[in-house]
Amino acid sequence: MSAAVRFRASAEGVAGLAILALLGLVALLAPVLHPGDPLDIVGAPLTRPFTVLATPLGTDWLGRDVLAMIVHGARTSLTVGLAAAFVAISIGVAVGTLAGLFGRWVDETLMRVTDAFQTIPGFLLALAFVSTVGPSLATVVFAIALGAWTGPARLVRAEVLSIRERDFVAAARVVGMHPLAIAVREVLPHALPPVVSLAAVIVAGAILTEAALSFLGLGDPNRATWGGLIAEGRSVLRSAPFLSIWPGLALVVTVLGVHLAGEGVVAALALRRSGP
Amino acid sequence: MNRAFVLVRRRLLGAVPVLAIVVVGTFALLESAPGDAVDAYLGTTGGDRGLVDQLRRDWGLDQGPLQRLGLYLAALARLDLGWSVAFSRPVLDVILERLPNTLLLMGSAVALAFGLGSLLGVVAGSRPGGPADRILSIGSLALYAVPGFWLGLVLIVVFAVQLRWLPSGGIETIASGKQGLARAGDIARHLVLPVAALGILYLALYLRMMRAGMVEVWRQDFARAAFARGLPHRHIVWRHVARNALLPLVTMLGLQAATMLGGSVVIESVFAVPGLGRLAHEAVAQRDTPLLLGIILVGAVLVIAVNLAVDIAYAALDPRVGAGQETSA
Amino acid sequence: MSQSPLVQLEGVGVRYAPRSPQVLADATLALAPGERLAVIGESGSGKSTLGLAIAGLLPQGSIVTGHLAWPALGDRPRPGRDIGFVYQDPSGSLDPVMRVGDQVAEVVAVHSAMAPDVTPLEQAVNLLGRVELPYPARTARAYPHQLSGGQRQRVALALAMAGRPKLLIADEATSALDPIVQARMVALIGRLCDDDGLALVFVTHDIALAATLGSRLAVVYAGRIVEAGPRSRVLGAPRHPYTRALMAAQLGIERPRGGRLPTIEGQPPDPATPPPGCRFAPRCALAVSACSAAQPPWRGAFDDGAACLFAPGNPA
Repeated sequence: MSAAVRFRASAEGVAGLAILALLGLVALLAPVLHPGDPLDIVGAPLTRPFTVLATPLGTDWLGRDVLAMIVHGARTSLTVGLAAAFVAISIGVAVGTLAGLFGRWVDETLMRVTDAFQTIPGFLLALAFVSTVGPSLATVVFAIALGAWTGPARLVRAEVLSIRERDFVAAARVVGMHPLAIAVREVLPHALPPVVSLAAVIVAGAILTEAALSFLGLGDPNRATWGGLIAEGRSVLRSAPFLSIWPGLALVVTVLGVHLAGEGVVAALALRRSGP
Repeated sequence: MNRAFVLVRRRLLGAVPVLAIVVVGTFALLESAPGDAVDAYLGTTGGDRGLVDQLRRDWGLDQGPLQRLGLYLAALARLDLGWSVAFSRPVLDVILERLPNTLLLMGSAVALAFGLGSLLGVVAGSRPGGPADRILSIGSLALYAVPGFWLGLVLIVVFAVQLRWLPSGGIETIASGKQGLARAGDIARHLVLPVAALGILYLALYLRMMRAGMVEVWRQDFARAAFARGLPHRHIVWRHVARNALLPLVTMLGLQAATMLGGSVVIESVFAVPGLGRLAHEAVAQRDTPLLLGIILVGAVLVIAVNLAVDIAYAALDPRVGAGQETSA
Repeated sequence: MSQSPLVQLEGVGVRYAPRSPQVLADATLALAPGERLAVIGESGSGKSTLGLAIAGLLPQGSIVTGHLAWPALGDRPRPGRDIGFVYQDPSGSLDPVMRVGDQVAEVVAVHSAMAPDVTPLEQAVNLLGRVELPYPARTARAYPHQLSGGQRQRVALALAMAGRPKLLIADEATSALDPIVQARMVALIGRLCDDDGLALVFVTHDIALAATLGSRLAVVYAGRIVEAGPRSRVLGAPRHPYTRALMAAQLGIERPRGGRLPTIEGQPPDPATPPPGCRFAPRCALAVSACSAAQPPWRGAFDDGAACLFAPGNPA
């Protein structure tokens, strides 16, 4: 049985993938579904949901289309989530591989730095980073990655340490391959699968962190973000709670989709490990 | 207690380089931010050019970066975390004033998440694959996807706005004049919603970990052997399987301390709880870099302290720790 | 047999899952109270399955066919109370984070198996003394990782005895130990059974140990009992060629001086595709075409005979 078959056999994985595919489609087609700037005013302010056909989820206190903003917010959420996870995993893989492969003082130094980053609350670090550099999509991505790379770094280091002593790596060393070449060609392909199963957790965490940053007003101010929408809805929470509730539901569904898909990946990988 | 002592010493020694890296990191961030301590100080009191230059000389800010790092370290050693622009007070004073509220909030959230989470995890893990397990597994996965700050808003809408059962924010009723138990009860009422909003994500996490840990322990020989010895199922679940599955959860408690402190930033902002997290948000909003870095430093010390406590708890729970034997829990 | 047997098996077969191969087929035997049976076989022969099937400890989802009865008990046996089971791995069967005395006391308390005016923990200390652990009161306060492998296996034995069972089943209980510790452990098991009048099923791959402990022997090959009988008869006049081959390989009978230990030629059959007829036939020097045609019938009494065409006695 291939990993793909096993993935399809897990109900969670299939459900998660379906949710993510739908969200991805919505994010890609956002300019088609809701052309123009989603932050434009299109109707009367504070229209209730399901009352006006043009704005099915209602309008906010300025008269902007909630559905349009949520659809465009999906772009931001998914882009930031995936990009931050990619950056975090890349940093983690690089640090973990170097530490595991070279050992000694390189390992010692890198691991102490990893400890330090795990000791500082990642969200505070992101806050400090964004407030110093200024909010933009790139700084938000990097700020989130700053607090998320330690997990993959530790995992990769542990994997590399266990793989390093195996025969094929020793053979490569005897043949005189450069350590970095050994890392890229022999060690990494074996160390990566467990990191892949961690990826879902990191993506989900990144999406939630982005939402929290935007909620506190530290997201990219020129984009519609779910966190920002929730924050804007707060001022009319008593009279129009739906303004905060809709984008939150979108967040829940997205993160749930990522977690479910992650369960599918774990099922696909774990079975392979226990198999022959 | 000898094992715990060895452990504490090792952890404290390990904390030294970590704290050093954090301090140098915060110093670098401080340096890269526009303005210096004199600007911060005089921004609130005002002063002419001559005073500025004199203060710079007095505080050693006209020297090179290495000397400035030395001065920064010396100040830290005197527990001087700098001057807060936004509050016109020493950073440490502001932080210490807010710290108790955050400790109360986090402590209650941890108690809720760990207590109820592990309990439900035992229920789910006592019969893996059973109906209770299925419901709890799906439910916890859904809860695990809920952002705490949004949950906080939903809780406010339901319990404060619609039902009017609980207050929507703050840590206590202002100027109520309540004392003693009445005041404690008032604070507890104010804490219910923020604790739930902060703790539920971790509750789901501990539930899932406890369940996974129990599934793992069920596969071990001693669980089978316990059945062969005729121990009742409930007995095996609580005294053996849950007891062993609890160990990784305790470790997780330490690992999650930093994340939870980060989470309390948003929750405290949602519920207007005057704690460290809300202070961080205020520091960002008012561009008060020394205050923000002071919070990060205190946060790091707090995380190290929590991990120390977790180590001691773990040593008390697992007799194998520090015994020079491999620990394969 | 004058008494009614403690346990009686008739044509018992075991599969671990609906469509998986039968790991034990057509097992018939009986055990009287206080009697000691040694089950001998190679690893994978189904001998452990036989022990687990008697104890009722097969994994969930296993399918058992045939009849298994407990005439002397009159009811289904309760694990721990009627049957004590000792697993092979001495470390794995103990809870790593509980003091061993508490673990024994727990089983004592659950089965209310202590004398009047003795607490479960006191009874546990007594038991640890009976399995000849030094300083039982102090050992009771130790955690498993503080004990040696041999000591842990003694604790496991104490745990199996804690419910005052009538039958002790030891599944390769001494294989993980070094020879000297093993010999002491075997002697201890023998003494304990004598003292309490315990019946014993001793599962092992080692004929010498089986001969020390078992008053009766059963030889298992590829999921079938191929020979059974009193120890003196089986060892003195083995009837099945596999029994003879095992004895030659393990006891050094017929071993030329200074020569290599003789081994049995060939491999045991794949349990998924057992050969038709006698499962030992492909490796048997005496095999004729009839051996591979059909399973040879049991010859002799059900508790003293062999499943071989060349064995004396009438087909059962």
